[in-house]
Amino acid sequence: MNAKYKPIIGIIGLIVIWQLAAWLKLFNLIYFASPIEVFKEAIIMVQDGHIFSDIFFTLYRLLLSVIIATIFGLPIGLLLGCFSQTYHYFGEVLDFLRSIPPIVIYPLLLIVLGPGDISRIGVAIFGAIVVLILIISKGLFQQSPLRKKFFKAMGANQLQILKHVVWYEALPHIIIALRTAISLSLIIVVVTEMLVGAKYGLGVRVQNVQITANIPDLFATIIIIGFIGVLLNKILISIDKKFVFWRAN
Amino acid sequence: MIKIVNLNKKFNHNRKRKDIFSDFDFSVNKGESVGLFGPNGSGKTTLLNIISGLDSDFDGQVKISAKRIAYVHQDPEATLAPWFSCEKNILLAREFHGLDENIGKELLKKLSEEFRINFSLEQYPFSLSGGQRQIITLMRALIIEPDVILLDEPFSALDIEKRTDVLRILVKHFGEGKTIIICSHRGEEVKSLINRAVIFGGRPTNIENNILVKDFNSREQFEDAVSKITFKKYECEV
Repeated sequence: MNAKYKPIIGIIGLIVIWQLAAWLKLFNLIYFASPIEVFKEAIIMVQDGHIFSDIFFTLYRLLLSVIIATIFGLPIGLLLGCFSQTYHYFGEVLDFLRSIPPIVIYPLLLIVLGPGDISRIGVAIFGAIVVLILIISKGLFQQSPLRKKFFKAMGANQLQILKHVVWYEALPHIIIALRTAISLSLIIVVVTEMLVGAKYGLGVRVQNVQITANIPDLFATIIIIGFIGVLLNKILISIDKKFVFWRAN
Repeated sequence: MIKIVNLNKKFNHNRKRKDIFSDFDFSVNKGESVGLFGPNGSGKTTLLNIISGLDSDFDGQVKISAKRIAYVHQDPEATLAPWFSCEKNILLAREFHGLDENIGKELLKKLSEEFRINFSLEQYPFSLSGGQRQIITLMRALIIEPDVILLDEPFSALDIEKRTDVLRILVKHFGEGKTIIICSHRGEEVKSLINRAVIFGGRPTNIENNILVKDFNSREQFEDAVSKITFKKYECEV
């Protein structure tokens, strides 16, 4: 069988098992929705249109936080990775920061910045920036220094080494870091939307189920969140295949 | 042209620092073609790394009076950029030396003909065989028209026919006035290229033999001597 059809069959198989479980009433249907109910609810959500605002606001918060984190995290990661002495000073600090669940700084940001988008995006930036700096710097730090030294011996200046070697050696790590940062930021954005102050967002929609008890809506929203994560990951995998072609070889 | 005085260099061996060179002196005059021979770990590659500037972790004086030095490293894969085509890899050497790109492209055409390249230089290094990659590093060295060329086991991945080709090209490019230092396990491989053979041995490394073509009545006698010394001492170890 063609390999590209295997995941589709896997997904269909899971949906069939899910529907069978609903028909056989293996779970309490007050807390459980069948795929058919979720599909019907999804159609209502699309007709209603509010889901698009929720998707937009979650994506807006997610992408803004990843973009800002990249603007700062990328150069810092490159710098730490290139200069091993600097990495020795800050490697442990970064490991420590990574160990802190980003969501725990949300209360502090709520006090300092208020319950608006700035604090939500701020937490996501914190989570993403630590991941970006750590993965990029560690990746570069672990590269063999031979190619850089050899190009230097060939007469390359620092700028040429940065442009022709460091950038390309960093590229695979940048993409891995972005994939991790996006996954983490999506979690943070949805959780902060669930907590306080947001009007729109997929997290708000999930939280509202506590009031509406609309379980099919909850399941449909969870699936949409999953789709967003998968879609963004697939985009980065395509970028990786196109621009980091030498790694596969 | 190249003068090394009081070279001291240590390396890590079983968590201990051991001397590879201790107060080591070595010099190469302009126009000399020197073959460096010796067993594994005798410091041949280390010496080339030091002369090329690849290794700066040593004590002592290294004086080089040359406009451009080219180095063909023993590991082509590690010194080529897999993200650039072979052509770009070769021409980068000219860019680093601030040399004209258009002249470089003309020179590249000539070198391609000389090396009888039968694959596209638009290909990336990872799609080439080990021997083809070795040819690319040789072309990258020659494209800058160096005064000094350092070659570390440059024929290790080449078949006999290609070795003969490469030797012919090197003799043509480095016939007069230019300097070659070549490391090899096999004197047999490079004897026609060199006019001086230096044999390393001992620990720390010292020069056990230093034979020059001018000390012999004929080139054949010199080549015979190189074959005999290197075969007896090292080739049988390989």
